[in-house]
Amino acid sequence: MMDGLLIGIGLFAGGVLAGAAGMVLLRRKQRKDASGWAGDSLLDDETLMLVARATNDALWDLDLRTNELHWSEQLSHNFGYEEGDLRTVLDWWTVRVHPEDREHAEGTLNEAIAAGRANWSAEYRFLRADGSYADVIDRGHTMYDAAGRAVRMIGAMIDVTPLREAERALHRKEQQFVTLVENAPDVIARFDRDLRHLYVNKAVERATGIPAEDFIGKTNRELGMPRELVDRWEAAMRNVFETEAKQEIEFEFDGPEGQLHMMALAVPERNERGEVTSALSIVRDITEFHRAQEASRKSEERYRTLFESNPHPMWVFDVETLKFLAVNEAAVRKYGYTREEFSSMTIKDIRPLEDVPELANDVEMLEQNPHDLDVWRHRLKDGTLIDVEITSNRITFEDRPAALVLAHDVTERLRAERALRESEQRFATFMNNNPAVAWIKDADGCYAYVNPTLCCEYQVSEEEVIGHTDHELLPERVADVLRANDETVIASGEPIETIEAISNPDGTDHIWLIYKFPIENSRGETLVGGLGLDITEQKQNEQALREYAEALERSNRDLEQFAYVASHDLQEPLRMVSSYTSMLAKRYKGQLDADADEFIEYAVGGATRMQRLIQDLLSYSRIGSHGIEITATDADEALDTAIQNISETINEHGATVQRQPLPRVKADHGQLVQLFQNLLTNSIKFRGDTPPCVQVFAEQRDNDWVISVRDNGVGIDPEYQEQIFVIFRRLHSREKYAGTGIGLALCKRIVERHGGRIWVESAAGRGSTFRFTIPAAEEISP
Amino acid sequence: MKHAPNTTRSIEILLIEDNPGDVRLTREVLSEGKILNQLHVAIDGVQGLDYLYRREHFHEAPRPDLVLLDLNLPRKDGFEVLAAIKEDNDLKSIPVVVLTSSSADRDVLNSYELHANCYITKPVDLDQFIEVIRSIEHFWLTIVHLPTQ
Repeated sequence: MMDGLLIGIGLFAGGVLAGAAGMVLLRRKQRKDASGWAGDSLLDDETLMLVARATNDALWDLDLRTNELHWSEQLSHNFGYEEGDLRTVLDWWTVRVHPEDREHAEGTLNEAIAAGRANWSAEYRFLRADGSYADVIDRGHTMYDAAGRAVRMIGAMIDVTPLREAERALHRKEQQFVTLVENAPDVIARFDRDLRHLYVNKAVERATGIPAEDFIGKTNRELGMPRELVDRWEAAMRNVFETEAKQEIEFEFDGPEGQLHMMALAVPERNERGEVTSALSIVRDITEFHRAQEASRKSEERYRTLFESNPHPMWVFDVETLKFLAVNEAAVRKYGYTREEFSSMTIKDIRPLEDVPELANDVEMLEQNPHDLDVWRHRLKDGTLIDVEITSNRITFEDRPAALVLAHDVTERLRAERALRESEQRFATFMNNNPAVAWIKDADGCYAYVNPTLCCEYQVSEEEVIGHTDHELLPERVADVLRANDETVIASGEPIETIEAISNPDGTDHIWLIYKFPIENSRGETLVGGLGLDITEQKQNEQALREYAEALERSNRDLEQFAYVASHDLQEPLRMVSSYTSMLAKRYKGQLDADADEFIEYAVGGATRMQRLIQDLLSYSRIGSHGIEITATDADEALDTAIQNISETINEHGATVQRQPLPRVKADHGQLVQLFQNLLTNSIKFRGDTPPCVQVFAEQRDNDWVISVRDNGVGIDPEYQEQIFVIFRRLHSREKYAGTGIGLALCKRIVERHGGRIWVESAAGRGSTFRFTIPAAEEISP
Repeated sequence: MKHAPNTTRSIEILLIEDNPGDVRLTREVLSEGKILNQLHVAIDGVQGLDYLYRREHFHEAPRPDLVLLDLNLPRKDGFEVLAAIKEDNDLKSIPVVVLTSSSADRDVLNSYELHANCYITKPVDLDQFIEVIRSIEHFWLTIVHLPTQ
């Protein structure tokens, strides 16, 4: 545009000059004035002067024959010269042409003249009065005489300094832009409406590996760029043209140096009429940025995950306001508050009230030792108190001084530690006060633990035992046995119980009940624990007791055998006495004197009593010597048999037996019959004046039955109620009530052999009730 | 006796008993009985068997119709004698009444296992003893038909 303008002016000036020259030549006028205008010059023409003023060009007139040179007034005006500075010679001009341009200016001028050309034009720098140079365009028209000699030259020098300055500035600026664009790391390209490259900078070569000039006039599609990318690219570019607004796209691109992440900005470019004729795209390689951003995002995500998914409660609180700034999921779960609740809470709110005053102190401590672990108490929303180990770090969170806290719930651990301590104390107390000696030996048989009882018992200190083996402490024979026992425990993994004779340091022999058991330690080794009880005394007592029991049993057996044999063998001579006294009485009664008869009578009576005594004694001893067979027995049937057996006695006394149904019991049938028989006989024998009446009935008591035999007989004074069950004990004279004194003793023996008890409830003259207990045959349901 | 088919001859009874008191008592009771009988006595087991096998000075002894056997005997006890009799084809047809002072169940059982014909405990009381002997007399010598020789 600027070039066009300059050209226009030049043409216009040339036309003017041509026209003007014609006029000057036609109207020659001589004028000489103080301004120094050369006479006989075109420049004296007034009209021409006015034209010069209008164009502000410095007109000149050079006489080529004389080298006389005249200037219009614009020269001094335009270049700052005073009138006195001017000389009307060509040299004046020549020396004022910039030395670097002089050759060009003079050369072209001379050349034009020599070549016979009418017009000359040159651009050069012209010295101003102030010493600076102006950019000028100088044009001249040469006139020739008839002989073809150049005689005169008329021209105009135009000051184009502002124009050239502007041009230079523009060029400089353009140059700067070009440098910038050419050297920009971004790929910069211009596209026409057909999306063909109009321009592309050097950066494209690095990105694509294709020389920049190959792009010009081609679309990306024609350049064989990846189809998918081209589709996106062209869509974006068309958008620029259609919407006339900038577009941004990001894309991945496989360049020669690997995959690149690119961001493209495309903007519309308008012509002077404001129409969008092209689009400029700037494509920036943001691979690094993207990678960094991705890394940063991942890192943040990682830390967020670390925070969020941490199994331990974590939070961030503002160190000044103590407000929670962030909490993780574990904190929400553990403490029971929602995130919303946390966001309006301070860390005071998770402390038990009584611990809050300490908080300031604790936070200060945290400032001083930020990595210290400390156990604090926290209160959950439901009021539960927990012990937490706190790890805290100062951080900056959203530009606030904050602390990142990790809380580790150690309630269980502390509880376990306390429990362990308690357990250890209990163990120590238990062991220290244990009457048993206790120890633990390792797998090699070295003592690892002994309790004070052991030390006391063997009069040794703990140090003398720990780390030593039985072989170092005890006689070899004993140590061999103990070691073998240990090995049995280790091999079998089962506890064993042994009885060992070990001498005490004082030389006395002691019997020990030793209980050994395996203890697995944390390294998987089997230790042997032991407990020893000194049972010397028990053993002695036991032995004595056993001997006593054996002696007693032997004695009892002997006694029973004796009673049996005695009563049995007594039968023989008794039969002789009884038979022959009876024979005597039978054959000689009344044949001897009265004394003889009486003597015989006593002898027969004695023999008869003795006979009964022996019979009863035999029964009594049989209860003990014969085995009893206890089965479910119907007491009613036993009573039937008993009544039948003594029917003669019942009839003889006119007695009545009233009975209620009796239960089934666990008893030896024969003995139960005998029991009833003896009790009934007893009741009838000790009758009062009224006919005997005996009642038999049963009541249940727990799993036993209590069977009662009640009579209306003479009764028994409470004083004698115990004695009646003692063998041979009689309360009445033989004359009054016959009997051997064995009957009730026999009853007692029978009841006791059935695991029961017999007693009598009575008062003299008011009858007696004999009661005995006997186990029920079946469990009695209540 | 009108009921007895064999009253025409004297019944031979062998009593093997070491107690002279019992021997006398038995003899007394039998002598007062209604059956004509001859009581032979052996005072121990060996003598009892000698009698039955007619050894020593018993070679003239008559074969007994009934044996009354005590169990508690010197030298050879009653069980040995009983076993010998019941194992001998010649003697086993002679009824053996075990008459003893023992009432032990074991003795009773043993006797029957050795094929005793009956077991009776000697009563202490004289009247009952007389009753027992009378019963033996009545049952074995009157009611029961004994084998003839």
